[in-house]
Amino acid sequence: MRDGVTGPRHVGVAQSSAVDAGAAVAEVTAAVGQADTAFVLVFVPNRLGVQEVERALAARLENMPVFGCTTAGQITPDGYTSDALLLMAFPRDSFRCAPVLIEGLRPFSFSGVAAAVEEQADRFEHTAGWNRLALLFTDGLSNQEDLLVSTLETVLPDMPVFGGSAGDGLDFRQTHVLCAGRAHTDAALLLIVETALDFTGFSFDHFQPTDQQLIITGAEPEERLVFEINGAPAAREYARLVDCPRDALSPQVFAENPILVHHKGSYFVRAVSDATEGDALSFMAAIDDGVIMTLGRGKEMIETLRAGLRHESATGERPDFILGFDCVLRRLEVEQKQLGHAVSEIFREARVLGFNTYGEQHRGVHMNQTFVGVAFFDPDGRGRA
Amino acid sequence: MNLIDPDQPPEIRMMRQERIIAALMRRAERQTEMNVSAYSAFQSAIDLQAQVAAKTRDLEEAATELETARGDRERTQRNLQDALSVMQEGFALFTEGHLNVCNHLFRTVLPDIADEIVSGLTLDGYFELMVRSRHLVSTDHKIHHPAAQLKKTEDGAMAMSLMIEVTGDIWYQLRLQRTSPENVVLLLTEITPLVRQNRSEKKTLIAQQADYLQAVFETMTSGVCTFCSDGRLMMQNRQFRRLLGVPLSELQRGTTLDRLLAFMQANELVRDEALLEIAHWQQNPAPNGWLRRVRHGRGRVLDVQVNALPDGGFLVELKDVTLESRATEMLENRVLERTAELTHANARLTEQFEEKARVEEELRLAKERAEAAVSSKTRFLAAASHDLLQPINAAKLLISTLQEAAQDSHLSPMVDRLQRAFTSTEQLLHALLDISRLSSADPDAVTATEVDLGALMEGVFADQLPLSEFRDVRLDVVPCRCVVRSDPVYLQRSIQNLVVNAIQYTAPGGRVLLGARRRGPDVVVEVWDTGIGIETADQQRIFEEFARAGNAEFVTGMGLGLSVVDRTCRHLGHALRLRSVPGAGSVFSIEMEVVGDRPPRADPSAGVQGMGDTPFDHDVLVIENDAEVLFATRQRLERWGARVFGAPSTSGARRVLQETGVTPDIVLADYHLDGTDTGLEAVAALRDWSGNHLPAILITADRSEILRRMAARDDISVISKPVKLSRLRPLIDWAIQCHTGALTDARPRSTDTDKSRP
Repeated sequence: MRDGVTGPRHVGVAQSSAVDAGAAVAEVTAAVGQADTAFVLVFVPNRLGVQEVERALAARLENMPVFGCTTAGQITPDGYTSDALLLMAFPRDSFRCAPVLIEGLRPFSFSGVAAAVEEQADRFEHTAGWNRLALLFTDGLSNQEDLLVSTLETVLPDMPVFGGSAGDGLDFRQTHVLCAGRAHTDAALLLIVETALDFTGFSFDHFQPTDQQLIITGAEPEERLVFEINGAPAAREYARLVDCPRDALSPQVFAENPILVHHKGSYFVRAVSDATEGDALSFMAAIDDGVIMTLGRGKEMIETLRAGLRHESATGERPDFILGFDCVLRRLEVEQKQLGHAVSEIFREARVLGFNTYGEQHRGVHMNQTFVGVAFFDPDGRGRA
Repeated sequence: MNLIDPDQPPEIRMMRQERIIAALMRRAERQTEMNVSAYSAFQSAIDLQAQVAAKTRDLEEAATELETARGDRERTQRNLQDALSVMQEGFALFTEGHLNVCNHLFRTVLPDIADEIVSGLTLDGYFELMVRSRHLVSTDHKIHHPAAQLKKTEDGAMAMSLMIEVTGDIWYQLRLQRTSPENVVLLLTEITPLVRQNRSEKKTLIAQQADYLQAVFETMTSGVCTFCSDGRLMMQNRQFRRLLGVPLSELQRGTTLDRLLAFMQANELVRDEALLEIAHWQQNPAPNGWLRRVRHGRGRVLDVQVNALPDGGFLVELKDVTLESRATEMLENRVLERTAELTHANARLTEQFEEKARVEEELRLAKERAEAAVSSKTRFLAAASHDLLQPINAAKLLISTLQEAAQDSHLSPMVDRLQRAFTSTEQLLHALLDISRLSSADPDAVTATEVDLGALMEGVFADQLPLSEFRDVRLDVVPCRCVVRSDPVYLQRSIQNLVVNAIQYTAPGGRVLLGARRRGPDVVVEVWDTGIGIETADQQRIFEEFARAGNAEFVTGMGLGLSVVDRTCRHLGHALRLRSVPGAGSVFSIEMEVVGDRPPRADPSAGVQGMGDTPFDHDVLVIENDAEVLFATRQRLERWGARVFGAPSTSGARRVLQETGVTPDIVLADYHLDGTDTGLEAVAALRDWSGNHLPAILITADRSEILRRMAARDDISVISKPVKLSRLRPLIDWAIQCHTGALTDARPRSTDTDKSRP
């Protein structure tokens, strides 16, 4: 824990910046009292080989349920870190969990997923006075989050689902989820959690629409690829609209100039992950041919963040900790604007722990460039999704 | 809105437009299809989310309402519970006069009527039932027509409240209350514990009070005993027994007062019959009690106070006032003694006062006698002097005439001696007269007026010049112009005495100087001589009568001169001093106040004196009742060359003038004529008769100021007896000249004249 900010009481936290996966795992697991822990979440930085981590964890935490994913960065007690291995240990006296591993996302099987989830949810015994929520960790390159989360929302109508898509730094090559100590790709992990703590879920972004609209005139929705915008090659047209040379397009530019979908008074970010050589744009959330979209513009980040994280329990207490799913593009924008230190400080004060995602899920919607969080309180308060 | 890059050529823009339209068309068509594409999932998810959000909002609102409703319900329940707790009392609600609901307790309070309390029973009906019930023991007041009473009552007010007793010592409070126009509530609250507690507390209180009373009784410092109305003893305390000296056995509860008094009499404890009056007091009790101070058989003095008690009994209170009474007696005795002393002292004082008054009276009488004696002595002396002066006056005039006649004969030295002897006698008489006058307490003995000191000194000088020449002593005077405040006669006499003394005590060839010098506001008249001086031992003594300095050998005079000076100065407040060196000389000085300066003027005496050789060719009328004096005066005046007409009285003078037919140039009149006749009257009569303002000179031995003023008023000059011839002649000349107008301004002042008082 850092000076000046007392750590959370209801979750154990450890991080390691050790270069070697084994050493890093050894360091983080040493800090965990295994007997008291119900399960652990592990967030694996891109620099560490997921297989090495998997093996080290298996060796260190033999009978411990280990869940997690690879990431595009961690939010540790020190704030943003790209390289640290982060471990969160959830104590038995406050937490139980039941995992559902969904393998083979493509093609997506609505019925299969629904059946597996329903079965597990039914089997998971309810503890009196405890609250339930579900945490979703999905392969961030599966392009199936929209369907998955919408399915879960249907199957688990009384259970709030919060999720983040696994990442691999900014490589966009391969991501993994960890379930019961094993790493999986093209898979999703739904962790049904029961907790004695109160909690509040929330999400926020920092964008507002401009009056610049654009129309997708050619796309491959399955692949979230857009070839043509306004009848012109997509990357070139996007570059023209954001007033940027075609060759200068980068994740930072995408982060600052998101494309929004307008639906019944609300705007949702459709983030661009890359511009292909064929002048197509690949998106991180569902798009479709013929969709009218709006160019977005960023708001002031720091105060938006501070306000977004400001949550209190019913009895007026601050959260014991916040589990955060923070879009990697937000972090890119923060770093672009050299606000990393200030944002880290806000996270530290708010006791935010979590990782940078390739997409966030909340209330059955898959989104980009948002922050989704679950604030946990001492059980005196009253949590509501 | 630039959906299409305007920089592109039109055909490309056209192409793009077509593509946009195509895409929109495709999308529009797909909207109707059923598919599960990711975007549609997203779309439906956000649709759902919006719906859920709306539902959630509705739900939350509903939940809030529910919450509120639940709160209301809970409150109502609580209220209901409160009501239920009220219902732990007997409760009945009468709606429009008929029983609506009641609880079990209400029904079973009176078990024998429980079955008759049914819905629809009227209020009055209930009360009738209640009154009939066997279980009702009592009510604290009567119940009649409660329904009628209710009508008078406003909503919410208490219509009736009464206490009822039910068999088994059970107590209820019954309250009837109108809660709304239709509803009346009847409440039965059990108050048995309250009633019982109240009752037991009362009992305890009475017992406690009795104990308390006894304790208070015992500790009281006065003796207290109570008797009940029939005279039997109820309570008494230790002090009562002690003071009364009666054993406890005789003071048992129930003992009668008569017996107690009898016991006391038998044991000689009653020394005062007053104590026995207590027995009679009871038959005739006074409202303010009865208080006596009695002597007890053992020497005590007791205050006995008897007061009636509310139950007809009475309370006897004894106070030991033995000490107090002794102290009072002692005080009274002391007061008596003191009073006697005071009376005695007062009597003594009265006696002393009377004695003093008597002494004062004696003193007053003695003083009167003394004063009378002094007065008669003074009168005698004055009269004697006056009577003596008359013959001396005549003798002097005769001797003067004789001297001239015997001049150069062998009788001449003898006549001179005769003349000196008479002069001494005259001086002695004057001195005696002055002393007697100054000795009297008469405040008019001296009269201070403004006096021309210079003129006075000149007069003295002139008078004593012959003496100094005779004694071969040089006499000088220093002129002075002061006007002083003094008595002219006595001041003149004093200065004259000092000068005469100085001449007499100075050997021939010596000097005497008379002068005055200013000292601040005062002037000092000094008389210097080169005489024999006075020893210090004699300096005080010489001022006494008939005293003379030890070294004064051959001197004339009787030693009265300085005494006159001393007395004069004391009367006038002048300072008299003496400096003297034996063998060298003396200086006498008199210091007096200066009131002004006299303007320099011609000296009248000098003018008059200058005419000593002029012929004295006057017709002079002399009125004198003394034949000897008349003769001597006629001799003298005729010697000077005048024609003299003599007469003894006013009428005689008139007759002389009538017979001779002469109008005199001047009238010389004696003041004292025979009978009431006076010189002043004579002058006035002659002036009237002659119709001429005759010049006149009054010759008198009376030196009083009054006479002098009366003479001055009538323009009559005054000259004292015995007449100094040296002064008489110039005065006559001056008076005549004044009358004829020759020397109107040169009239001599009265101070220039030698005056005497009788």
